Amino acid sequence: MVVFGEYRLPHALQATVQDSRIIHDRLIPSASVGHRTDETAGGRIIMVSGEIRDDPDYVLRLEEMRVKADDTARTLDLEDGSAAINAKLGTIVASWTVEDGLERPTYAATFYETS
Amino acid sequence: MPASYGWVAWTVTAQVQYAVDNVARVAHFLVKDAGETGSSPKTGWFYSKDYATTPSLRPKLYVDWSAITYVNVSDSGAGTETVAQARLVDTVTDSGVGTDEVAMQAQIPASDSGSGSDAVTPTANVSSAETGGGAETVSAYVPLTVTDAGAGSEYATRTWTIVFHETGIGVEFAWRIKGSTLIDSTALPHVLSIQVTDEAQMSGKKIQGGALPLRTLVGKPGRVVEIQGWSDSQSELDAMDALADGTTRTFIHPSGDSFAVLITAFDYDRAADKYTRRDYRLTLKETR
Repeated sequence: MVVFGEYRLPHALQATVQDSRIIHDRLIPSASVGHRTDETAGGRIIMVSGEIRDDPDYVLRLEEMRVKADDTARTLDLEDGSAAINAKLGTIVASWTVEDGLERPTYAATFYETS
Repeated sequence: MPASYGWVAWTVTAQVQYAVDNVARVAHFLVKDAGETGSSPKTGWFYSKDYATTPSLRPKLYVDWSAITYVNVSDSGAGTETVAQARLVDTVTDSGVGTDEVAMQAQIPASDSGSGSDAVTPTANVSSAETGGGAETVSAYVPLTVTDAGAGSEYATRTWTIVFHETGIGVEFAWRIKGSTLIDSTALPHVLSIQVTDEAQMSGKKIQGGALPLRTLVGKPGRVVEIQGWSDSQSELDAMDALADGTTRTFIHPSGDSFAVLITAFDYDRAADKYTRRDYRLTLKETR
Protein backbone atom coordinates (compact mmCIF):
# COMPACT_ATOMS: atom_id res chain seq x y z
CA MET A 1 0.00 0.00 0.00
CA VAL A 2 1.03 3.60 -0.54
CA VAL A 3 0.42 6.34 2.02
CA PHE A 4 0.51 10.03 1.11
CA GLY A 5 0.32 12.11 4.25
CA GLU A 6 -2.56 10.52 6.14
CA TYR A 7 -4.22 9.29 2.96
CA ARG A 8 -3.86 5.68 1.94
CA LEU A 9 -4.18 5.17 -1.82
CA PRO A 10 -6.76 2.49 -2.67
CA HIS A 11 -5.39 -0.80 -4.04
CA ALA A 12 -2.07 0.53 -5.30
CA LEU A 13 -0.68 -2.01 -7.75
CA GLN A 14 2.53 -0.52 -9.06
CA ALA A 15 4.98 2.27 -8.36
CA THR A 16 7.40 3.54 -10.98
CA VAL A 17 10.28 5.68 -9.74
CA GLN A 18 12.12 7.97 -12.15
CA ASP A 19 15.24 9.52 -10.70
CA SER A 20 17.52 12.11 -12.29
CA ARG A 21 20.45 14.37 -11.53
CA ILE A 22 21.41 17.66 -13.11
CA ILE A 23 24.81 17.31 -14.76
CA HIS A 24 26.80 20.35 -15.85
CA ASP A 25 28.54 19.71 -19.21
CA ARG A 26 31.27 21.80 -20.74
CA LEU A 27 33.09 20.90 -23.93
CA ILE A 28 36.86 21.47 -23.82
CA PRO A 29 38.32 22.05 -27.31
CA SER A 30 40.71 19.34 -28.47
CA ALA A 31 40.21 17.40 -25.26
CA SER A 32 39.09 13.77 -25.36
CA VAL A 33 36.97 14.20 -22.22
CA GLY A 34 34.98 17.34 -21.43
CA HIS A 35 34.22 18.93 -18.14
CA ARG A 36 31.33 17.40 -16.22
CA THR A 37 30.14 18.13 -12.76
CA ASP A 38 27.13 17.05 -10.82
CA GLU A 39 25.11 20.16 -10.22
CA THR A 40 22.24 18.94 -8.13
CA ALA A 41 19.51 16.38 -7.71
CA GLY A 42 16.61 16.41 -10.14
CA GLY A 43 14.18 14.99 -7.64
CA ARG A 44 12.34 11.77 -8.08
CA ILE A 45 9.10 11.52 -10.00
CA ILE A 46 7.00 8.61 -8.77
CA MET A 47 3.96 7.30 -10.58
CA VAL A 48 1.66 5.10 -8.53
CA SER A 49 -1.04 3.17 -10.38
CA GLY A 50 -3.85 1.18 -8.87
CA GLU A 51 -7.56 0.66 -8.98
CA ILE A 52 -10.70 1.24 -6.99
CA ARG A 53 -12.45 -2.08 -6.60
CA ASP A 54 -16.21 -2.53 -6.64
CA ASP A 55 -16.83 0.64 -4.69
CA PRO A 56 -20.10 2.48 -5.39
CA ASP A 57 -18.43 5.59 -3.95
CA TYR A 58 -15.69 5.50 -6.56
CA VAL A 59 -16.32 9.16 -7.48
CA LEU A 60 -15.71 10.13 -3.87
CA ARG A 61 -12.53 8.04 -3.74
CA LEU A 62 -11.17 9.80 -6.83
CA GLU A 63 -12.16 13.21 -5.48
CA GLU A 64 -10.39 12.44 -2.20
CA MET A 65 -7.25 11.86 -4.22
CA ARG A 66 -7.77 14.88 -6.45
CA VAL A 67 -7.98 17.36 -3.61
CA LYS A 68 -4.56 16.25 -2.43
CA ALA A 69 -3.07 17.92 -5.52
CA ASP A 70 -3.05 21.23 -3.66
CA ASP A 71 0.63 22.22 -3.81
CA THR A 72 1.16 20.90 -0.31
CA ALA A 73 4.16 18.71 0.39
CA ARG A 74 3.34 15.54 2.28
CA THR A 75 5.20 12.42 3.29
CA LEU A 76 5.01 9.73 0.62
CA ASP A 77 5.63 6.23 1.92
CA LEU A 78 5.59 3.44 -0.65
CA GLU A 79 5.69 0.93 2.22
CA ASP A 80 8.09 -1.26 0.25
CA GLY A 81 10.90 -0.89 2.72
CA SER A 82 12.30 2.25 1.11
CA ALA A 83 12.58 5.50 3.04
CA ALA A 84 9.62 7.86 2.98
CA ILE A 85 10.14 11.03 0.97
CA ASN A 86 8.64 14.51 0.84
CA ALA A 87 6.48 14.94 -2.27
CA LYS A 88 3.67 16.85 -3.90
CA LEU A 89 0.88 15.26 -5.84
CA GLY A 90 0.53 16.32 -9.47
CA THR A 91 -1.30 14.78 -12.38
CA ILE A 92 -4.01 12.20 -11.79
CA VAL A 93 -5.42 9.99 -14.53
CA ALA A 94 -8.63 7.99 -14.01
CA SER A 95 -9.86 5.42 -16.52
CA TRP A 96 -13.01 3.37 -16.96
CA THR A 97 -13.37 0.46 -19.34
CA VAL A 98 -16.29 -1.68 -20.39
CA GLU A 99 -14.52 -4.82 -19.20
CA ASP A 100 -13.93 -3.61 -15.63
CA GLY A 101 -17.15 -1.67 -15.13
CA LEU A 102 -18.01 1.73 -13.78
CA GLU A 103 -17.28 0.91 -10.17
CA ARG A 104 -13.76 -0.34 -10.84
CA PRO A 105 -11.80 2.58 -12.30
CA THR A 106 -8.04 2.50 -12.55
CA TYR A 107 -5.95 5.49 -11.63
CA ALA A 108 -2.40 6.76 -11.98
CA ALA A 109 -1.11 9.45 -9.65
CA THR A 110 2.18 11.27 -10.23
CA PHE A 111 4.17 12.51 -7.24
CA TYR A 112 7.06 14.96 -7.41
CA GLU A 113 9.76 14.81 -4.79
CA THR A 114 10.46 18.19 -3.27
CA SER A 115 12.70 19.68 -0.66
CA MET B 1 -40.20 -84.00 -12.12
CA PRO B 2 -36.72 -85.55 -12.23
CA ALA B 3 -36.25 -89.09 -10.97
CA SER B 4 -33.51 -88.04 -8.53
CA TYR B 5 -33.15 -85.09 -6.21
CA GLY B 6 -32.13 -81.80 -7.82
CA TRP B 7 -33.20 -78.27 -8.67
CA VAL B 8 -36.41 -77.85 -10.63
CA ALA B 9 -36.97 -74.53 -12.49
CA TRP B 10 -40.12 -72.89 -13.82
CA THR B 11 -40.53 -69.64 -15.73
CA VAL B 12 -42.91 -67.49 -13.69
CA THR B 13 -42.53 -64.12 -15.41
CA ALA B 14 -46.24 -63.57 -15.82
CA GLN B 15 -46.97 -64.31 -12.17
CA VAL B 16 -44.20 -62.00 -10.92
CA GLN B 17 -45.27 -59.19 -13.25
CA TYR B 18 -48.82 -59.60 -11.95
CA ALA B 19 -47.55 -59.40 -8.37
CA VAL B 20 -45.57 -56.23 -9.16
CA ASP B 21 -48.47 -54.57 -10.91
CA ASN B 22 -51.36 -55.60 -8.66
CA VAL B 23 -50.60 -57.13 -5.24
CA ALA B 24 -47.70 -55.13 -3.76
CA ARG B 25 -45.08 -57.53 -5.09
CA VAL B 26 -46.29 -60.53 -3.07
CA ALA B 27 -46.33 -63.62 -5.27
CA HIS B 28 -47.74 -67.03 -4.25
CA PHE B 29 -46.94 -70.27 -6.03
CA LEU B 30 -48.63 -73.66 -5.84
CA VAL B 31 -46.66 -76.71 -7.02
CA LYS B 32 -48.73 -79.68 -7.99
CA ASP B 33 -48.69 -82.69 -10.26
CA ALA B 34 -49.62 -82.01 -13.87
CA GLY B 35 -51.86 -85.13 -13.90
CA GLU B 36 -53.56 -85.66 -10.58
CA THR B 37 -55.84 -88.40 -11.81
CA GLY B 38 -53.13 -91.04 -12.46
CA SER B 39 -53.41 -94.51 -10.89
CA SER B 40 -49.92 -94.73 -9.37
CA PRO B 41 -49.16 -92.41 -6.47
CA LYS B 42 -46.36 -89.85 -6.88
CA THR B 43 -44.68 -87.85 -4.20
CA GLY B 44 -42.59 -84.68 -4.57
CA TRP B 45 -40.39 -83.36 -1.75
CA PHE B 46 -39.20 -79.79 -1.50
CA TYR B 47 -37.18 -77.97 1.11
CA SER B 48 -39.18 -75.18 2.74
CA LYS B 49 -38.22 -71.48 2.96
CA ASP B 50 -37.58 -72.09 6.66
CA TYR B 51 -35.12 -74.98 6.18
CA ALA B 52 -32.29 -74.05 8.55
CA THR B 53 -29.83 -76.92 8.11
CA THR B 54 -28.77 -75.95 4.59
CA PRO B 55 -30.22 -72.52 3.75
CA SER B 56 -28.82 -72.67 0.23
CA LEU B 57 -31.40 -75.36 -0.57
CA ARG B 58 -34.37 -73.11 0.17
CA PRO B 59 -36.57 -72.20 -2.83
CA LYS B 60 -35.34 -69.23 -4.82
CA LEU B 61 -37.00 -66.69 -7.05
CA TYR B 62 -34.79 -64.89 -9.55
CA VAL B 63 -36.14 -61.60 -10.90
CA ASP B 64 -34.39 -59.54 -13.59
CA TRP B 65 -35.37 -55.88 -13.32
CA SER B 66 -35.16 -53.54 -16.27
CA ALA B 67 -34.81 -49.83 -15.46
CA ILE B 68 -36.63 -47.59 -17.91
CA THR B 69 -36.78 -43.84 -17.84
CA TYR B 70 -40.20 -42.65 -18.83
CA VAL B 71 -40.90 -39.20 -20.19
CA ASN B 72 -44.59 -38.53 -19.87
CA VAL B 73 -46.32 -36.77 -22.70
CA SER B 74 -49.83 -35.45 -22.21
CA ASP B 75 -51.93 -36.24 -25.21
CA SER B 76 -53.83 -33.19 -26.39
CA GLY B 77 -56.02 -35.35 -28.58
CA ALA B 78 -54.70 -34.35 -31.98
CA GLY B 79 -51.45 -33.77 -33.81
CA THR B 80 -48.00 -34.51 -32.48
CA GLU B 81 -47.02 -33.87 -28.87
CA THR B 82 -43.60 -32.63 -27.87
CA VAL B 83 -41.71 -33.20 -24.67
CA ALA B 84 -40.42 -29.87 -23.49
CA GLN B 85 -37.46 -31.05 -21.50
CA ALA B 86 -35.76 -34.22 -20.35
CA ARG B 87 -33.13 -33.59 -17.74
CA LEU B 88 -30.07 -35.72 -17.15
CA VAL B 89 -28.06 -35.03 -14.02
CA ASP B 90 -24.68 -36.54 -13.32
CA THR B 91 -22.82 -36.13 -10.06
CA VAL B 92 -19.09 -35.80 -9.55
CA THR B 93 -17.57 -37.12 -6.36
CA ASP B 94 -14.54 -35.10 -5.39
CA SER B 95 -11.56 -37.37 -4.87
CA GLY B 96 -9.69 -34.59 -3.09
CA VAL B 97 -6.86 -34.18 -5.58
CA GLY B 98 -6.56 -33.42 -9.26
CA THR B 99 -9.53 -33.07 -11.55
CA ASP B 100 -12.58 -35.28 -11.37
CA GLU B 101 -14.48 -35.82 -14.58
CA VAL B 102 -17.82 -37.20 -15.48
CA ALA B 103 -18.18 -39.30 -18.58
CA MET B 104 -21.73 -38.89 -19.81
CA GLN B 105 -23.11 -40.84 -22.71
CA ALA B 106 -26.57 -41.06 -24.07
CA GLN B 107 -27.87 -43.75 -26.38
CA ILE B 108 -30.62 -42.70 -28.70
CA PRO B 109 -32.42 -45.70 -30.23
CA ALA B 110 -33.83 -45.25 -33.69
CA SER B 111 -36.70 -47.36 -34.98
CA ASP B 112 -35.70 -49.19 -38.09
CA SER B 113 -37.91 -48.27 -41.01
CA GLY B 114 -36.59 -51.27 -42.94
CA SER B 115 -34.57 -49.49 -45.58
CA GLY B 116 -32.37 -46.48 -46.14
CA SER B 117 -31.06 -44.33 -43.29
CA ASP B 118 -33.09 -43.31 -40.29
CA ALA B 119 -32.24 -39.94 -38.77
CA VAL B 120 -32.58 -38.95 -35.13
CA THR B 121 -32.53 -35.26 -34.27
CA PRO B 122 -32.06 -34.73 -30.55
CA THR B 123 -32.10 -31.19 -29.19
CA ALA B 124 -30.62 -30.10 -25.89
CA ASN B 125 -31.10 -26.97 -23.83
CA VAL B 126 -28.12 -25.99 -21.72
CA SER B 127 -28.81 -23.29 -19.14
CA SER B 128 -25.98 -21.17 -17.83
CA ALA B 129 -26.41 -18.85 -14.84
CA GLU B 130 -24.65 -15.60 -15.52
CA THR B 131 -22.66 -14.18 -12.64
CA GLY B 132 -23.43 -10.67 -13.77
CA GLY B 133 -27.18 -11.07 -13.26
CA GLY B 134 -30.05 -12.74 -15.09
CA ALA B 135 -29.94 -16.07 -16.86
CA GLU B 136 -28.89 -17.06 -20.33
CA THR B 137 -30.00 -20.05 -22.34
CA VAL B 138 -27.81 -21.77 -24.85
CA SER B 139 -29.53 -23.98 -27.40
CA ALA B 140 -27.67 -26.89 -28.88
CA TYR B 141 -29.03 -28.63 -31.96
CA VAL B 142 -27.20 -31.72 -33.12
CA PRO B 143 -28.46 -33.76 -36.10
CA LEU B 144 -27.52 -37.40 -35.80
CA THR B 145 -27.71 -40.00 -38.57
CA VAL B 146 -28.07 -43.71 -37.95
CA THR B 147 -27.08 -46.12 -40.69
CA ASP B 148 -29.65 -48.84 -41.21
CA ALA B 149 -28.24 -52.33 -40.81
CA GLY B 150 -31.34 -53.83 -42.40
CA ALA B 151 -32.90 -55.38 -39.31
CA GLY B 152 -33.37 -54.75 -35.62
CA SER B 153 -32.70 -51.43 -33.92
CA GLU B 154 -29.62 -49.30 -34.40
CA TYR B 155 -28.24 -46.53 -32.27
CA ALA B 156 -25.56 -43.92 -32.60
CA THR B 157 -23.49 -42.28 -29.88
CA ARG B 158 -21.91 -38.87 -29.88
CA THR B 159 -19.83 -37.02 -27.31
CA TRP B 160 -19.10 -33.30 -27.45
CA THR B 161 -17.49 -30.50 -25.49
CA ILE B 162 -19.21 -27.18 -24.87
CA VAL B 163 -16.95 -24.27 -23.99
CA PHE B 164 -18.40 -21.08 -22.49
CA HIS B 165 -16.71 -17.77 -23.11
CA GLU B 166 -18.40 -15.43 -20.65
CA THR B 167 -18.82 -11.99 -22.11
CA GLY B 168 -22.05 -11.15 -20.34
CA ILE B 169 -20.65 -8.75 -17.77
CA GLY B 170 -18.96 -6.59 -20.37
CA VAL B 171 -22.00 -6.56 -22.58
CA GLU B 172 -24.24 -5.71 -19.64
CA PHE B 173 -22.00 -2.81 -18.67
CA ALA B 174 -21.83 -1.58 -22.26
CA TRP B 175 -25.58 -1.28 -22.27
CA ARG B 176 -25.53 0.47 -18.92
CA ILE B 177 -22.97 2.99 -20.05
CA LYS B 178 -24.78 3.50 -23.34
CA GLY B 179 -27.03 6.48 -23.06
CA SER B 180 -25.38 7.71 -19.88
CA THR B 181 -22.31 9.37 -21.38
CA LEU B 182 -23.53 12.60 -22.84
CA ILE B 183 -22.32 15.81 -24.43
CA ASP B 184 -25.13 18.27 -23.89
CA SER B 185 -28.12 16.08 -24.79
CA THR B 186 -26.30 13.85 -27.28
CA ALA B 187 -25.73 10.35 -25.93
CA LEU B 188 -22.46 8.85 -27.08
CA PRO B 189 -23.01 5.40 -28.63
CA HIS B 190 -21.27 2.23 -27.38
CA VAL B 191 -18.70 3.85 -25.12
CA LEU B 192 -15.87 1.39 -24.41
CA SER B 193 -13.51 3.46 -22.30
CA ILE B 194 -13.27 6.87 -20.66
CA GLN B 195 -10.04 8.39 -19.44
CA VAL B 196 -9.98 11.59 -17.43
CA THR B 197 -6.60 13.24 -16.98
CA ASP B 198 -6.36 15.97 -14.38
CA GLU B 199 -3.00 17.44 -15.28
CA ALA B 200 -1.01 19.48 -12.79
CA GLN B 201 1.88 21.53 -14.11
CA MET B 202 4.77 21.59 -11.70
CA SER B 203 7.83 23.79 -11.76
CA GLY B 204 11.08 22.65 -10.24
CA LYS B 205 13.53 25.18 -8.90
CA LYS B 206 16.92 23.55 -8.89
CA ILE B 207 19.03 24.06 -5.80
CA GLN B 208 22.77 23.76 -6.18
CA GLY B 209 24.77 21.56 -3.92
CA GLY B 210 22.84 18.35 -4.28
CA ALA B 211 19.71 19.36 -2.45
CA LEU B 212 16.32 18.36 -3.78
CA PRO B 213 14.52 20.84 -6.04
CA LEU B 214 11.76 23.04 -4.73
CA ARG B 215 8.61 22.00 -6.53
CA THR B 216 5.68 24.34 -6.96
CA LEU B 217 2.30 23.65 -8.45
CA VAL B 218 2.00 26.23 -11.21
CA GLY B 219 -1.58 25.44 -12.05
CA LYS B 220 -4.02 23.08 -13.61
CA PRO B 221 -5.04 23.62 -17.23
CA GLY B 222 -8.20 21.60 -16.69
CA ARG B 223 -9.20 18.01 -17.16
CA VAL B 224 -8.77 16.22 -20.48
CA VAL B 225 -11.29 13.50 -21.33
CA GLU B 226 -10.50 10.85 -23.92
CA ILE B 227 -13.38 8.62 -24.95
CA GLN B 228 -13.29 5.55 -27.15
CA GLY B 229 -16.32 3.77 -28.52
CA TRP B 230 -17.93 2.53 -31.67
CA SER B 231 -20.97 3.05 -33.81
CA ASP B 232 -22.52 1.38 -36.82
CA SER B 233 -24.55 4.45 -37.72
CA GLN B 234 -23.21 7.20 -39.95
CA SER B 235 -25.84 9.59 -38.59
CA GLU B 236 -24.55 9.07 -35.04
CA LEU B 237 -21.00 9.77 -36.18
CA ASP B 238 -22.15 12.87 -38.04
CA ALA B 239 -23.99 14.09 -34.95
CA MET B 240 -20.85 13.75 -32.84
CA ASP B 241 -18.75 15.41 -35.53
CA ALA B 242 -21.13 18.37 -35.53
CA LEU B 243 -20.49 18.89 -31.82
CA ALA B 244 -16.87 19.82 -32.52
CA ASP B 245 -17.70 23.37 -33.61
CA GLY B 246 -15.84 25.36 -30.96
CA THR B 247 -18.89 25.76 -28.75
CA THR B 248 -18.56 25.20 -25.02
CA ARG B 249 -20.59 22.14 -24.15
CA THR B 250 -21.36 20.08 -21.06
CA PHE B 251 -19.80 16.66 -20.65
CA ILE B 252 -21.76 14.29 -18.41
CA HIS B 253 -19.86 11.30 -17.05
CA PRO B 254 -21.84 8.06 -16.34
CA SER B 255 -21.19 8.70 -12.65
CA GLY B 256 -23.19 11.92 -12.89
CA ASP B 257 -20.13 14.18 -12.74
CA SER B 258 -20.31 16.96 -15.32
CA PHE B 259 -18.24 19.94 -16.41
CA ALA B 260 -17.91 22.35 -19.33
CA VAL B 261 -15.72 21.21 -22.19
CA LEU B 262 -14.46 22.10 -25.60
CA ILE B 263 -14.31 19.28 -28.13
CA THR B 264 -10.82 19.42 -29.51
CA ALA B 265 -10.65 16.24 -31.56
CA PHE B 266 -13.05 13.75 -33.07
CA ASP B 267 -12.00 10.96 -35.38
CA TYR B 268 -13.40 7.64 -36.52
CA ASP B 269 -12.38 4.74 -38.70
CA ARG B 270 -13.05 5.15 -42.35
CA ALA B 271 -11.85 1.73 -43.51
CA ALA B 272 -14.39 0.01 -45.74
CA ASP B 273 -14.10 -3.33 -43.96
CA LYS B 274 -15.10 -1.70 -40.65
CA TYR B 275 -18.32 -0.05 -41.71
CA THR B 276 -20.33 -2.41 -39.53
CA ARG B 277 -18.42 -1.27 -36.44
CA ARG B 278 -16.57 1.97 -36.71
CA ASP B 279 -14.41 2.91 -33.77
CA TYR B 280 -14.32 6.56 -32.78
CA ARG B 281 -12.11 8.63 -30.52
CA LEU B 282 -13.19 11.84 -28.88
CA THR B 283 -11.05 14.32 -26.96
CA LEU B 284 -12.61 16.92 -24.67
CA LYS B 285 -10.84 19.62 -22.68
CA GLU B 286 -12.35 21.19 -19.63
CA THR B 287 -13.00 24.90 -19.84
CA ARG B 288 -14.61 27.56 -17.74
